[in-house]
Amino acid sequence: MSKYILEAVDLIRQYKQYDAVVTAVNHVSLKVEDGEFLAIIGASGSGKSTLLNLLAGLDRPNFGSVTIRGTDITKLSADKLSRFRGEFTGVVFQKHNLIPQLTAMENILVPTVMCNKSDSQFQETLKKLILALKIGNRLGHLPSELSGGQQQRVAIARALINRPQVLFADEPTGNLDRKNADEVLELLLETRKMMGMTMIMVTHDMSIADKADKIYMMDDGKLYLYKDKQGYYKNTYELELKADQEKNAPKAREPWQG
Amino acid sequence: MKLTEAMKRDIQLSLKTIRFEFPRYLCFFVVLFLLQGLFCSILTLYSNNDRTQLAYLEGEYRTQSGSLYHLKLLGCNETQRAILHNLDLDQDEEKKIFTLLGADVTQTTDGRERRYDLYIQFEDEVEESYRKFRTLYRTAMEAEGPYTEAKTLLLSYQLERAGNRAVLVLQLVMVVVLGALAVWVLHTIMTNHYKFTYGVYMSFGANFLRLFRTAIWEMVWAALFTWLPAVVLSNLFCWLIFRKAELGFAVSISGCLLTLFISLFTVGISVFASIKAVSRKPPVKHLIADDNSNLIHSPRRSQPLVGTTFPGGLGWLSFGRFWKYSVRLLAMTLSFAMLFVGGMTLAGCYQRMLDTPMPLYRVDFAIPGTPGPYQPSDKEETPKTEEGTEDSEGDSEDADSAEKPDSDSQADTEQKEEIPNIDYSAYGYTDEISKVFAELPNLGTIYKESVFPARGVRSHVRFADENAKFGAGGVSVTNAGTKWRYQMNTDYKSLDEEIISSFEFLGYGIEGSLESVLTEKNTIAVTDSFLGSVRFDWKVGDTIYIAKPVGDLEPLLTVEQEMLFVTDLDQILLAYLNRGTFKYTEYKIGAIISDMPTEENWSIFFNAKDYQKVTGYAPIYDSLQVYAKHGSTEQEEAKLYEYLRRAEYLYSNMTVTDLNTREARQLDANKNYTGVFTLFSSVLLAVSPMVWVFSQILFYYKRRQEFELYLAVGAPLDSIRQLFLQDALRYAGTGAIVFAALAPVVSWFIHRIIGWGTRFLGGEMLASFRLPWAAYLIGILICAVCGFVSTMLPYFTYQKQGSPLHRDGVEMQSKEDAANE
Repeated sequence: MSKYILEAVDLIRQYKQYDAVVTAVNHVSLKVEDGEFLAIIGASGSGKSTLLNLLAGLDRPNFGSVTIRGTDITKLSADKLSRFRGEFTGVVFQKHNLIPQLTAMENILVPTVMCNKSDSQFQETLKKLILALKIGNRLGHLPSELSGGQQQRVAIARALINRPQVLFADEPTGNLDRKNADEVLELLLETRKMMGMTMIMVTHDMSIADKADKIYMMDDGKLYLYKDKQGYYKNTYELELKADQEKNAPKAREPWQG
Repeated sequence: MKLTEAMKRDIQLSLKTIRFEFPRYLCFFVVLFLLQGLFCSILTLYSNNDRTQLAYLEGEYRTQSGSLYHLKLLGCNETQRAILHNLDLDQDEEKKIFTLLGADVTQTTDGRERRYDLYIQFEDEVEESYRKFRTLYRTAMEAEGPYTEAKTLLLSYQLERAGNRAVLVLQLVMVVVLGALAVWVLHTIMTNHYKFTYGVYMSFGANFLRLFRTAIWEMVWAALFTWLPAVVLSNLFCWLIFRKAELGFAVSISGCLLTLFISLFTVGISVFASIKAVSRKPPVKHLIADDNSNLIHSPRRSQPLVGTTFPGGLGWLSFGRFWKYSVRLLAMTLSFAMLFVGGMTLAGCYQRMLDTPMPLYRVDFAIPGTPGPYQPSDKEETPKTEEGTEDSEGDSEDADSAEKPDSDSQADTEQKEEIPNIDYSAYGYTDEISKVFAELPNLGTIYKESVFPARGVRSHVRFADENAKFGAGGVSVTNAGTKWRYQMNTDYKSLDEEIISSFEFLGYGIEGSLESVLTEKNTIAVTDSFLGSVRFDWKVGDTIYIAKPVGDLEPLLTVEQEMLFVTDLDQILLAYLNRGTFKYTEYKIGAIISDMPTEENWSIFFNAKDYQKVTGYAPIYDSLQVYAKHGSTEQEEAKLYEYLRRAEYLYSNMTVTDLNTREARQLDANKNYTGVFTLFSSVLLAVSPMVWVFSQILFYYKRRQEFELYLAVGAPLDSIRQLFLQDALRYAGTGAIVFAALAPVVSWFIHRIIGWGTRFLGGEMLASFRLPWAAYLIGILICAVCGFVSTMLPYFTYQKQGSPLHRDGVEMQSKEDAANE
């Protein structure tokens, strides 16, 4: 069995905008090991959120494949993909995406309802999450009655309630002030560690990305390795980027080795 | 997870959603209330109609001793009566098929032979008994001489009961389809505006089934909560109808339960379709659609805003940006309003059909032999008639008409078919009988027809193409710069004083003078429609050319052989035109007849001489339709029938048939199609405002951020009001104009489709299309008012709820909010 929990091969995602075609993700390949924390950084509009959506199965690529735990999710039907998302992945969105008419507790439980989990299957996780995320006193409140930080903590609990194997986080602290952002991030990392799951996070905050095992840089739809256990590849990235620009041709890449 | 636990969660979630966002579901409650009311009304009306109609008919068909009878055998002789009597006695009691209830001695002819009217009652399984009766005893009866079998409407009703149920099922299917369409439209609007929530659900594992379960429970609650009030009110409504008609009424429990079942089925289909569309898209598409951006459809190019006025210019720009939404909204709302006009058109048609005088009796004359196909025009051998000799004057033939030389007259003569040398006018409805009939008591009119289809005499007609309206069909040919229309779906009919007076009695619209057809040379009367729609734009004085084949008939006979199985008359006509040679005679239109019930052919009326000239035969009337005078009572009609029966015995070749019109009319009136269609249409009309308001409230709710921004950058609140007002006027204007333009066309199509469907099912031909002006104007008004009000409503809500930017004073923050900050 592959040591990689997630493998993306040659992903392309293009959008048609009137008479122009925009390539948001351009021949991206990626391998993620089990339990790894991977950060994707890049400027706004570089395509990192689009890539995350593709990896999480929230969107379909025009070309390429995404394999999670041996299942090529790009080949799944809409129904099977939904079920797969519920069982294997969790998502934390930048804008929380809490359902306004549901209380915090109900929002957290949405994935369990969608996946028809019985109480016994999530009660323990729920208690742990409430404790870890410190939201016990806000569970009966509607999202509009919660602060931004509280809303995001509820969103994290919702993403983790089904104990997903891979957690996708799209700028989870992007809407929060520094203090709240640090707090939420710490909680997220602790909870991830507690549950031992793989996490792929999109951020533009280098201080957050630095906590990751690996950092990838997204630039103009292309993905470059920026840092791994052996250190930074800033120079290599820049050289590669320059060479790439000179060639001006799309090219599928493997992450740099050492 | 256990099913019960899953269901419990679904129920809790759906109830919570409905409670939290009741206004969002209000329109579903209203629509489902209306739909269930409609379902229940149809089922209750059917159930009560079936019961009351049977009771009514059972009351109508009783012998003097009070026994129920299903069949009457009229004019049986002594032997036939004896046969039937003996057969009745010989029946095994347990396998009895019929009972001979009694006999009316109706006539003594020359004092030698007695005639009997026999009353037959069938046993419980009426359909089966009638079938056996016909197979077993008919041959024996017929061997002993002629008699007439008069089926009662009671028997027909029982035989057609299965058909009536099929009609009910069809009605319900139609209502379910339209109801499902209404719920689907509303549900699609909702899912479209709440894509975000579905996107979240899908992000966390909700597949189609899961989404469907969530959504369907919400609709199930709406259906359950509205079921009881709808059922109660519709039963009350039906009770009032029956009370007004002084008929007994009974609540149909099965109908009420079936209503719930059908409505659940309806919402099931709608939600299925709507959620299926949602589940097909990736969640990210739904998540990004939280701000109406999914409704924007425009070239994504920046407009030159410098110098743009506000709110006017920018308002127009926004309206343009949302044109996709506007088109969708108008399409949905106007469709329902148009269906209303279509439904009212049908209601009007049925009412006119009910109001049209119907013949009570038919009189048939047995005539030896029947006129054969047409003989060519040259060397005509027209049979001699009392008043008609071959007309040799007055033909103003076209110079270009004889397109092929008239050759080989010998061969032509050989092709001619033998015409029996019979003076047909001596038979049928003669002047002598006419005089006798004129004395009949309570007689309204006698409608007689002598008809020859144009094809029957290998003829056709030609007229200026501009006289043909849309759907007139036929073949268009341009000849020497003139565009002509050729048609063969034409009936040639004769006209005389008696027919003219019957037209007056029947209330047909007449333009011009029918008398001119009788008095003026080469003058005809025409109808303006066929298949229930006006297809011609005739004017008095217009010209129609009647074609007659000349020369060799062989090419035309070949065409007939080749096209034996072709039903399209136009194709046959085209083949005729290509291969045959015709002589065209010019006729002037003296009168145009409208409102005449029509089928596949339209009619041209000639005076007797022209009729004979065109068809080759003098008019012959072998079948008459007898109408009682307007407002006749049952007794008066019975008296008319009695005198007709007396006449029947005076003339041996005459047969009188009771068409059971009074009873059939009563049944039709009980079916209350006009009421059902009016109710149905009104429900459809009620959906339109629902869609307007629901969609606009959700749409403008999402645009609040945009208005907040305008306020934030310095726009006064009044400009926001003006934005709404401009949009309201635009929606009102567009809605009214588009509706006004399309509603007549849609109604016409609905009329055509229903007319075709009715014909296909063997039903009565629909009355011709007539736009219901009142409904049309109501539709325009509703579109305009709804367009305006539905756009202004969100503004008033916005104004009432207030924006932080135009709120007077500062609201108190909750302690928790303050603490959070």
